[in-house]
Amino acid sequence: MYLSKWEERAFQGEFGEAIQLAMNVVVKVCKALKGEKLVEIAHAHVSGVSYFNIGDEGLQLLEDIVKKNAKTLVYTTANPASIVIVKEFTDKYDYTIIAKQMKIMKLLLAMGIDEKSFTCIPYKLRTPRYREHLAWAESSAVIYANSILGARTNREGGIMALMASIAGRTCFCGMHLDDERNPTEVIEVEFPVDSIAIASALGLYIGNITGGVPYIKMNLKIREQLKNVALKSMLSSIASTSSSALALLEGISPEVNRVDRSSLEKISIDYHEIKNFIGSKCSNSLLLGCPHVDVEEAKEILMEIKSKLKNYDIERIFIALPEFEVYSLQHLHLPNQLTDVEVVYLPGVCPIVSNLKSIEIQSLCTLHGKAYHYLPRLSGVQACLLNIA
Amino acid sequence: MPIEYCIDQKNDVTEVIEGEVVKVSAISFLGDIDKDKGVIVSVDSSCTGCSITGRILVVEKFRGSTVGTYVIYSLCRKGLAPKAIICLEPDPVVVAGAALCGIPMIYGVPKNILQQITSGDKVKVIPKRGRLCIVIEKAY
Repeated sequence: MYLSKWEERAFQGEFGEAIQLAMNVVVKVCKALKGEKLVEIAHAHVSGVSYFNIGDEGLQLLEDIVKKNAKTLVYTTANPASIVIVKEFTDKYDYTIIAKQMKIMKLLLAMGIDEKSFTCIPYKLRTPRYREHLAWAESSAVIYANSILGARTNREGGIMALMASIAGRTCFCGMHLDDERNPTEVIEVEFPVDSIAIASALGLYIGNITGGVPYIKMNLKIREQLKNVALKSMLSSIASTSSSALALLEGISPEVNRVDRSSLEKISIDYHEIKNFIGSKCSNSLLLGCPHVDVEEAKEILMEIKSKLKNYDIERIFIALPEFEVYSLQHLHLPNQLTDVEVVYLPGVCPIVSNLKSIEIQSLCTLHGKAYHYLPRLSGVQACLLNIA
Repeated sequence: MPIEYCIDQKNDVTEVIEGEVVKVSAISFLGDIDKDKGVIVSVDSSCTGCSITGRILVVEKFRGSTVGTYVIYSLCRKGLAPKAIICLEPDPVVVAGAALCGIPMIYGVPKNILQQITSGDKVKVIPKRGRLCIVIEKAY
């Protein structure tokens, strides 16, 4: 495997123990992936922030790395934490769990991650440029960066992204190469994609059938202000039911003109194939913001659903959003119809990577396919996809 | 009689590694191993109750969570890690964990060689002029 002079010196330990350790991991993983060289990255995004996810083992590793004086070499952001730090819930969790969650965040900040971090939409903090190389470790952000922005990142593991951040490089393989970004099939959607929930259901279905990089032709018939939420929901759903890091969306993805799709298999999807993902109401609580929404997007969704909430007896809405958006919350004027509904903001956290049974949640309605897919698997609660927006 | 197989060296192994084998059909470091004891707990691993500590862990297939990297690191910190890992296909999660604490990882070992190895065998891994030779002494 080729290493530049700087990389050789870093690998030999000339720039300190932490960079040597990071280079060692990046190079060994790259060799295992059959990569021939490394590539410098502009932005690393680290996952594995929730204490429920990485446990004492992850906390110990972060402590050891910080003791070695590890610092981020490139701009770095991190995923949301678990909900134990949200003030409404702190009395429901053991103090030691809250302290350990805070410690994980503190250690990442000590390494130099952006203090506005703790979100799964790092492209809101810094939008990657077309063809820019990244090392991101959040599947929903990875597929958004590749598909919507035309940037280049593999689905890195949480540790690999952290090591890439410290080394400033990752493996030049997979999504970093043009040849790996060609579509594997053409998918023609035969019904209008007219809501966030339908976009989610479609994404979950496509994830189940794609060979890796779907080329998708669809009519996204949704109002302009909600389009980005629908796209985020669809792409993150594809990434939930598959290992895809890229979907080429006709008319949207910047790379669609580059690819040749003439010899590809065509697959048509009609509404009957996705309708089973749409459920009936399973809870009096609704989760919004998977991936995170910003305040404007939250407002638009609330406007869309306000008149439907009574029919579904929705009493409480959880909204997961980046922590830096909290400052904008004062500008969020809730629609009048929401006066009977409790709105709980979840800034900088993710309910899916949290133990929700501790706060007596048994089930959640949502609009988002990723939440629908992972809530039962990771947070131990039932979920249903409600087609109300 | 010991059996010897040699393969192309892809793994940067520089020193002879020698030890007793624990072989598993499939393993995830998260969930399949008791992280406080270094003992395999999954019932479908083909070596339930075996300790991996100080042994050469031979794996047919890796599975499971990316959190596995942290678990391998933690096993090392507690002195419960295997001496080396031999496998067919490398899993980036396991490679990262092994790299973090210096566990030699030998991958690209053909299936027919892995099939010759069973738990309890003694295995010696010897780097020889760009090749890697695996000597298996059966535990009859």
